[in-house]
Amino acid sequence: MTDISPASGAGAPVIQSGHTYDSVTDKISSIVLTRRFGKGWWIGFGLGALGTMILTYAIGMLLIRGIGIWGVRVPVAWGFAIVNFVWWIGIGHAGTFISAFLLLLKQDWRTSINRFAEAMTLFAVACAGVFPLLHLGRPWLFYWLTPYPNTMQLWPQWRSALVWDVFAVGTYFTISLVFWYIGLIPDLATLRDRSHHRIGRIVYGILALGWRNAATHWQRYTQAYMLLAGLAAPLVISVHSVVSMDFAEAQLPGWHTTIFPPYFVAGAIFSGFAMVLTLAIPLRAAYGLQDFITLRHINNSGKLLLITGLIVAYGYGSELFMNWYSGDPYEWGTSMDRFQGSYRNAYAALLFCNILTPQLLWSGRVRNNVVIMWIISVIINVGMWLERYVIVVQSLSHDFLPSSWETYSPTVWDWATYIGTIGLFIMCLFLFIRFLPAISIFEMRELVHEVAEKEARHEATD
Amino acid sequence: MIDRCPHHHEEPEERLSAPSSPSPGTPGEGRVRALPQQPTSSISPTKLLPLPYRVPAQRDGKGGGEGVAQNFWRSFEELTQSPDFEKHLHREFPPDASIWKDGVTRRRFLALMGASVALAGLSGCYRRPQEKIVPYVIQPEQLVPGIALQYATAMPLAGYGKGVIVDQQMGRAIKVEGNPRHPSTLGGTDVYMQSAPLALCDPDRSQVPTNRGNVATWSGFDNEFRATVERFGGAAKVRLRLLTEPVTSPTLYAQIQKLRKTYPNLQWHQWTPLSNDSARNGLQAALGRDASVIYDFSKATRILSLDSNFLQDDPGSQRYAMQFIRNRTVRWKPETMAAHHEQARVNEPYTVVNPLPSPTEMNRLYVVESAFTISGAKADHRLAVKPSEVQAIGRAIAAEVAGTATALAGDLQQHAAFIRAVAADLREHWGKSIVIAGDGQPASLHQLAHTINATLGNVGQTVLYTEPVEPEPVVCLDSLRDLVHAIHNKQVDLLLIVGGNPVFDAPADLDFAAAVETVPWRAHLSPYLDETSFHCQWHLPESHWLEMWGDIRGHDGTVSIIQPLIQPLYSTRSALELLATIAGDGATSAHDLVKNHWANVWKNDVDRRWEAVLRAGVIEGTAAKTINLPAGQTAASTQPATSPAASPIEISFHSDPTIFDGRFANIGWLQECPKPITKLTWDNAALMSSATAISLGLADRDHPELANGKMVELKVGERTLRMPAWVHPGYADGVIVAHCGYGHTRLGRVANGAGFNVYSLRTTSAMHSAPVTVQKVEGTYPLACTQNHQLMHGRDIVKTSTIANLHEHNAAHEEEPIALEGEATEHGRRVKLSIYPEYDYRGYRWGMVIDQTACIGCNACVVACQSENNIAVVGKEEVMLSREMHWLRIDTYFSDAGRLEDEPAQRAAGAEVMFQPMLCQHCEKAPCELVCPVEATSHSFEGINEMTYNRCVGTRYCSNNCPYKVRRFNFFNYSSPEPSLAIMRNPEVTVRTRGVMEKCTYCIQRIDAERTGRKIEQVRAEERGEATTMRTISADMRGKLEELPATTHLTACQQACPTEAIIFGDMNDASSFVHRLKTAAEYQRIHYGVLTELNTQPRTSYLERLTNPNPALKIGAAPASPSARAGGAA
Repeated sequence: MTDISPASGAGAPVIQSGHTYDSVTDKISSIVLTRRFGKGWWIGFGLGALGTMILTYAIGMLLIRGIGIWGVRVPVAWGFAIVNFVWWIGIGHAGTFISAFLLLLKQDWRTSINRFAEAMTLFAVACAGVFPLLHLGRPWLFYWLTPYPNTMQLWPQWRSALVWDVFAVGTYFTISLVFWYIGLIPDLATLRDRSHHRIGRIVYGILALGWRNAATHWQRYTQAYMLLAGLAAPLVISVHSVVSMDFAEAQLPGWHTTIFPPYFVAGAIFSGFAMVLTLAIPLRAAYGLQDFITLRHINNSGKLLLITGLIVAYGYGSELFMNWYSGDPYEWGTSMDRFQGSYRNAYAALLFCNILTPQLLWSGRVRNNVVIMWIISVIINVGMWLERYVIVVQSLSHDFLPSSWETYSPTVWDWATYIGTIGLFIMCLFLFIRFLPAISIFEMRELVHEVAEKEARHEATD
Repeated sequence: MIDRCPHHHEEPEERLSAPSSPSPGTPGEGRVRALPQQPTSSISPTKLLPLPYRVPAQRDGKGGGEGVAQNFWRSFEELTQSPDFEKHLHREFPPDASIWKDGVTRRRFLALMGASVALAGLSGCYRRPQEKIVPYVIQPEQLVPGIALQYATAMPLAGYGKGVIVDQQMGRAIKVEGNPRHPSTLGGTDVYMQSAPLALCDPDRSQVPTNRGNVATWSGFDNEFRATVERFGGAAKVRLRLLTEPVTSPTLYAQIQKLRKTYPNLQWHQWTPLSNDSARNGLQAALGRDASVIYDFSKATRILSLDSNFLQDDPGSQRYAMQFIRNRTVRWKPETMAAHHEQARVNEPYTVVNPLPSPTEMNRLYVVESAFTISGAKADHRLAVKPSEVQAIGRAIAAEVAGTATALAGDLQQHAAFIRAVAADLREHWGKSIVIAGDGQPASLHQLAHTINATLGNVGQTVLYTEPVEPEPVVCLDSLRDLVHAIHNKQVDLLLIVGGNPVFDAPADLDFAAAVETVPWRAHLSPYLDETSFHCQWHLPESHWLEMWGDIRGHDGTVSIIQPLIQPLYSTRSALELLATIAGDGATSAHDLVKNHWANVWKNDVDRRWEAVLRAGVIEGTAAKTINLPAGQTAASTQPATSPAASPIEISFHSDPTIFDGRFANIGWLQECPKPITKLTWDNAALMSSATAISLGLADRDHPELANGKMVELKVGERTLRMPAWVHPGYADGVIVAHCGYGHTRLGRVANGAGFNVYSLRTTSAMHSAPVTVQKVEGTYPLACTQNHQLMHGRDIVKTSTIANLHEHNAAHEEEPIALEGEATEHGRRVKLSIYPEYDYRGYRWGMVIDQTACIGCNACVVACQSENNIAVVGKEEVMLSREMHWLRIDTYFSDAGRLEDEPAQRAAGAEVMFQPMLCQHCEKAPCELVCPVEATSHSFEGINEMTYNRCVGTRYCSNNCPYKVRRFNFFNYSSPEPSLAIMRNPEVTVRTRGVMEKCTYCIQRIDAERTGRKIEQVRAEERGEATTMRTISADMRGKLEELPATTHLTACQQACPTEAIIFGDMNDASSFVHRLKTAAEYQRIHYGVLTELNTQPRTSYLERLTNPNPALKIGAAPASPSARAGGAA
């Protein structure tokens, strides 16, 4: 840590030196409180809002006319909806991983990215949550999947992974929301105190829940935050494990695999970090946050991408090997179809995106190049979407009896819904950036203190 | 969520509006009640007689009953005065009939935006129309709502009748079954019979007469007809021509005779596009007189078909199919379906007579054909050739049989082995073989076939000649040609076309449309306002056969009475009524005409016999008389060969296997029914081999399937037609096969625009095949195929074996243990497949066995299931998205013999096709059940995998996890809200709404109906102090099953099957056939389940497909291994 070269991300500080409590608070809160709504913001927000309108329209169409407007069919009865659901849920994972796992592991570099990573989680899970509801044939009866008291004493069927899914995703959303909100409270108080606008003071005041910066507050707050982190950490593992069981529980070749839970979790963190980078890199440029989101963050995310990418690659390899080793003609038939069948291009593309591309991250120079990192992160996002597409669609299209083999193609409504959720995500994100501190102010102040202390210690030992 | 049961809606209201006529039934006919009289029709009170003998036994009340007609549409006169009339007319053509129509207007956009705010819940509810429900003031006797009554009647098709029994609920025809007493069907059915309820209720049927395109009345027609006759010089002078379909009906013929007296200048013509002209001519040449021929396949062990699709196209096909399969399957069955039902009732345990016939005893079928028909699919040896080559092969075989063989011509050399082997095999089975020629072949080949039969001693044994079944047999083509000729010579004043659609289906060179336009006055009676009606001044709506009186002969001449189940829904007349009116008999009802005709025949005891005949459905002893030929009368084959000239590419015209000659083109069930073998729906195509497609430049060697859907231009003579190509295995190179009947322009919403009109290529000189030039043209056409992969890829799906192999195998593995349900054999012992204990079924335990040897792929079961279970038609676009709803489908697989690498002859012959009816397997360990989050699909205590529609939220996970993919999902609200379709729906089965999964239930409604009926029977018997008539439980089951009556109920598919390929029953009942097939040692070598390695433990299981190839022939023979492993990954 002694030789800090700005060119090397690995050694870069988690916050540029020279910042004081004041400068941190000023810099971050000014984005919310004093900065004008720029043209860029309006364009971004407008695009997001447009996407949201498309989503609303697509949903209306779906409810009025029926699931048939999508491309789903027999045998591919699950299509874009489930692909997108898994993709969005996966994206959300990085947020929880950063806030909970890295918090527990006391990784100080997480501080500047955890807030918006959490927000990303929240919005991603919201986007994900749209799909399983809509993909029901009769979405208005979605509550039958929950155990609610009813006169017929009917309960959900506990053997079905779809019921576990309801609980897993529901829990995940709740915990993510609470965790994110609790993390926001001290900053909301800061905004309350600094806001020059009456409405701002009232709204932030209510949201701040009477935070007075008292020592007791801080003591309880830290306890609660750590406890929630403890709760959230297992969710990183459990949610995507359960989601993977939606597939692994079936006996369909290509789904029926024991490797799915760990492989899905790794894949989720993989895609989540890719999304963090995809968002963080433009964000730091746009709002001049290079001091807070430093090369160190990007570098570390790159390393995590490499590790999780390798786990995912192992998953592919293991699946392929087991299909061959089992001697099961159906499993092997599915594997061969991935290489030779109608979805061979999608499969080849996902191998390129998810296995080949991350290999670039072995190089430190690549990890420190912001532009290349951004491109890689986008490629990985695409690759992980393709992965889910191949798992869901290809496996279904090529099952046991050749008589039922059929290929799937999405319709305009599938695309509209998918693009619509991206719009919703973007819109939420822009609102979040504008109205809430995208970087945790109090944690950054803490970081300033810690860094200063560390430097002081260095000086003392010198 | 909304379980609309449409059957209780408008009915009572309608009933009130029907004029209540007092029953004029005679005192002796206590149970017979009159139909309400139609105000303006001349129909006098008529009687409907139910069938005393029911199939299945439980489904009706106590035998009696009467027809209560539904007067949905009053007469036109009444309607014109009613303000509802306009509304009624518009109701028939709802503005947005198509649910998958795209396109969004601005207003719609706003509506949707608003709707999406409301999100869910909105589409879950809508206002239902207000309905008045008024009960009967006086309950009609014997009419019990909810209990079906059965009536025997007959379905006419191109002049010949097939006996049926129709289920009727509250006056509505719900389901058609075969009449086991009818000689042409023996209780079997075909797709056309099964589709009758939809044909009756088709909203596109024409409902009123039209005069020059305007709505008119029947009295208007009658007046104008009389006036026109007067205009042309009165009845004595008028040159009236009558054009009908072939007529076998005795009463109709009597009416025509009467007409001839009234109108001395009357000329009668008969025309149907797919007639048996050449068969008639050939037989005439062979016997020197008019005759009909019937075959007895039950006595035939060697069959040679020369381009004949006798399993499907003959008026007696169901009988032939059953007889053919009886000599083929290794399981024993009672003589007929009727016997089967009675057997079940009187508790005679099934006995195995000859479980394993020797290869000599089992029949063997050789087929030489140009198309790929289901008969070819059942062949042990099939030779696909050009239509022009059939004759030469037939001659060569005849020469071999007669022992006068000379060296084969060059072209025939490649078939030399086949020709010799067939001839030798036929000779070895003297008197026990059949040589049958197809209608598409010239008369000379038919004559040749009769000669071979005579040589082989088959005449009088398996081939029977009878007096002609038709009273005045004609050669249809000559008859129509005469008519057109007469029209051109201005010899026709009035033309009355009764049935048929000659403008659509007449040979193109006759240009019937232009000719008919020149007739001064013309009228057309038909069920639709079709192409012919369009060219006539008067269109007269024709009654459906379910709403008319008549009589008709079967393939052997046996007469059936056609009796109505319902008063005509619309203002229609039958052919008989129309001719009677014209003949001046208008005052007599059709019922009386028919009855009087038979009264004249019977002389005495008329009422009793009439009633008996109506109950039985057939008039015994009316079969055509056999002609006893003096030995050697059959003409020797002196006629010179008249083989058509061969050409590089030939086109062969065939009747369509689902819409016949085009008359069923507006029936959605039939349009959506996948054609046997090709699995195409909604269209016809130019079917060809891959080599043909490659040679035409439509595809390359690696991907011949790329030719599918590419447009080609077919040129026959000067006529051209553009239609899409479809590549399929099993066609001879250089042959294009085209099915007729598509390409309607004016029939109905379903038919119009579907497919391509092949009749436009047919000319009088080329009625069945012709040289054709084929040119690739720009463009493609989407074709909806329900099965795109027809190779098994090495998977054991359809197991197939030869009878010889089976003998060997049985001898070799005598002591091997037999794996029972839920077990496997490993190292000579049985092991349980599941660690969980099996459920103990104390009551019934339903199961099904499907005999793949017996399945001929005719689709009767598919349509029967659709009719029984209210299965929706989804339309071509949805089929292309593979969203068809059939609960039962027939998977068709090809062996991979006959690949492109093979020699052409080998390639065509080697495409062995296997049918596998695939429906819910009702797995004991059902993969669908555990993945449903709301438990909408679950196992019943009788082992049926049940589907609770109300509980289903539509996650579709069950479908994903079903290895058989037999679950069907309502992606839209497929069930049409068309009011006229509501009356054909089976009230016992829920009509499913959007978002719900559905699938085969083993016809659980029939099980429950029988259970209820049996219980009532039991209680009543006990009340009377009688012993129950029910089957006693066999000793080993006693104790466990004390309370249970044995059952005889049949699933809809089982009942429809003409070859008894489907066997359903109680596996817990040791005397049941299903139990026997599933457990008895003699079947264990051929009994198997599909995908049992997944431990789904399906309770629908299969019997291996057995063939009996000639050991002397290798090419095209069934694979030698017990299970055909089709390798490769194409």
